[in-house]
Amino acid sequence: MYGWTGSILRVDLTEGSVVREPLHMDRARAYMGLQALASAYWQAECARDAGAADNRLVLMTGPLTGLLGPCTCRYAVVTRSPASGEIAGGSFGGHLGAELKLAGYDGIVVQGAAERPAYLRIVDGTAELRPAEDIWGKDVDCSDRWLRERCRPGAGTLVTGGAAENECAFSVAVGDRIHVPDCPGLGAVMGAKKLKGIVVSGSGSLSVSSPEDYLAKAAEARQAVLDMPFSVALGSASVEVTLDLMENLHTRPAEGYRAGARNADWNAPSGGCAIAGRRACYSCPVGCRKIVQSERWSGVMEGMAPENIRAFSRFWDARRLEDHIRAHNLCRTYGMAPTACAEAVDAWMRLAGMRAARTEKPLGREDTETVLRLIEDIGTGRGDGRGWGVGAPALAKDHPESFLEKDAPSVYDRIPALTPGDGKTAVREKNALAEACGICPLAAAALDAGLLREMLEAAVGPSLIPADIDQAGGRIRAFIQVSRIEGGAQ
Amino acid sequence: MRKSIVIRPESCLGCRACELICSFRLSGSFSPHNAAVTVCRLEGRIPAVPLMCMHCSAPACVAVCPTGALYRDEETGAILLEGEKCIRCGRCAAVCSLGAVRRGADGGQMIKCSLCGGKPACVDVCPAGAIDLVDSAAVEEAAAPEKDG
Repeated sequence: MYGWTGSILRVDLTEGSVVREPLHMDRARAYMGLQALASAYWQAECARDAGAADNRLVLMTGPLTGLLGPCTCRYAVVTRSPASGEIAGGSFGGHLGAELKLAGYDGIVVQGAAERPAYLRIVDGTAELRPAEDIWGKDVDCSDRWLRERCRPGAGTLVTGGAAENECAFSVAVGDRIHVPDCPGLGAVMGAKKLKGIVVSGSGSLSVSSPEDYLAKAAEARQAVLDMPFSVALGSASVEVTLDLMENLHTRPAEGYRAGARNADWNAPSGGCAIAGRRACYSCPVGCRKIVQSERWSGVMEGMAPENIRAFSRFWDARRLEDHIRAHNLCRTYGMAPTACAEAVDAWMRLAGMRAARTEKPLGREDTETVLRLIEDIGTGRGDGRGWGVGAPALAKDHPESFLEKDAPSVYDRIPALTPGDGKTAVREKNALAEACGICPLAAAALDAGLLREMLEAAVGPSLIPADIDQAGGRIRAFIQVSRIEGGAQ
Repeated sequence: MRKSIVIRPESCLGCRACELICSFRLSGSFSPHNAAVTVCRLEGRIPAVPLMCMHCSAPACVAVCPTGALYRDEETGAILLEGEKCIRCGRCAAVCSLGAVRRGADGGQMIKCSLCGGKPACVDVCPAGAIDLVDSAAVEEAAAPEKDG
């Protein structure tokens, strides 16, 4: 079989068992992979009001994940978030998805809850749960390093930081140490299940149905991604272009941020920090993750993605790049969704009288250390930090008078990945299909529907392509939305 | 004209496209662990370094090969491995300081870069120019010690 390996891993933390089982091919052909296929598994196995132990955590790759292609690296994790009570789906880049496919699995379904902290180690055909007491409560960097030392070099990882163990409602799992999805609650689910992380290394091979055809189409697709203005912009690391990107995505940052942004430049920002390099996900020709070096820090900070700068735009404008990066890095270190964390800190400051209620005015430089300290308190559960970890929606419910109106009802609004918001249904459906196949949303935007279909056909072969492939994108998109609503979304 | 591979670690993005295309050329499938190039991922300012055979001027692997399976192609300058002569003893892998000769993931055939007959696929696929093919003369000139005066 091409495209899918045909196997998933079922991990029962209560029983301590890890079992290989066949992939549900009807579901795979209908929804291809990633968030749609993971949602299908979650929906089939999990009640809407499932408790912590019954709640499933489903990790799923796509049929193109792991191949040479235009950013064919993606995997998605779907579960029910305790923060919102909804199905929470996060799409990750990095290397774990590809390593999982190379180890011989399309996905992982985690159920039950362990008595003692554990991690899942997968090396080719051997998958086992191992004790993780030594890193329970430790931050992402420390935990990631610890897991890698217990696997082969180059392994893919997904780990939680201290926030997950402190029951922070907006904690997340961090992929390969730098990929921080803005899907609050994923970390809290792993924390409740006492699953500290997953480390995967695969040395197998992935074949395609028509090798030379696939290679030609993949090369064409990679070039299309490289030629796209977004790619040039992301590679150049310009704040101005990032802002334009945000405008296109209808995700406008706060007014104070935009006002100061036009004169800012990531290559010569304040505080002596600068972009020192870029890091790419598996098979990605762009490399949008920035490596930032500062005169004030002894090391470097990695993983700043364009969308992350939005999270703290309620506090600082773009010229305060160093503050943005420090705040983002703390979220990454403790494993918290940056946007939700910024909202919680904002709520804390407003309710504690550290910031005027109902104002958008950016904070002054003197408040920087306060913001960073509050992030750290929430991440570590220190002092009042554990209480503020319930998140802004819960706080806004009790104290609506302190918040801006736009903050209260939908504070967990997420950037719709990097999908261009041009409103054209066909484009959105094509992007949905590309993402379900395992392609990064950025690259999905660069591919036209014909090229995507040809590449998919060359990869999985005509027998596994759904007969209604032209409608697959619409079906996938609709299914994700319906499953979110059925899962409790407002 | 002889060509040499040049690695620019500061440009490498760590995307592993070189591993993927190399394994595809060697085996017809995508299998990064069975490639003749290994992307060594790092933490810090340089995200990764591609490690592969640099086709040394005094190759230790050729010197220790007991069957003569490793030899230099006079036309391209590449050190090549003749599979039929190889007895898989692993001495070449043991002496290579770059770890550029390796045993395949199935534990069988030794794998090393053959320069793809003079047109390395990894050079074409690298999006950042971290792997390049240049005239050997230019490399030798750059590597030569500067003369005083």
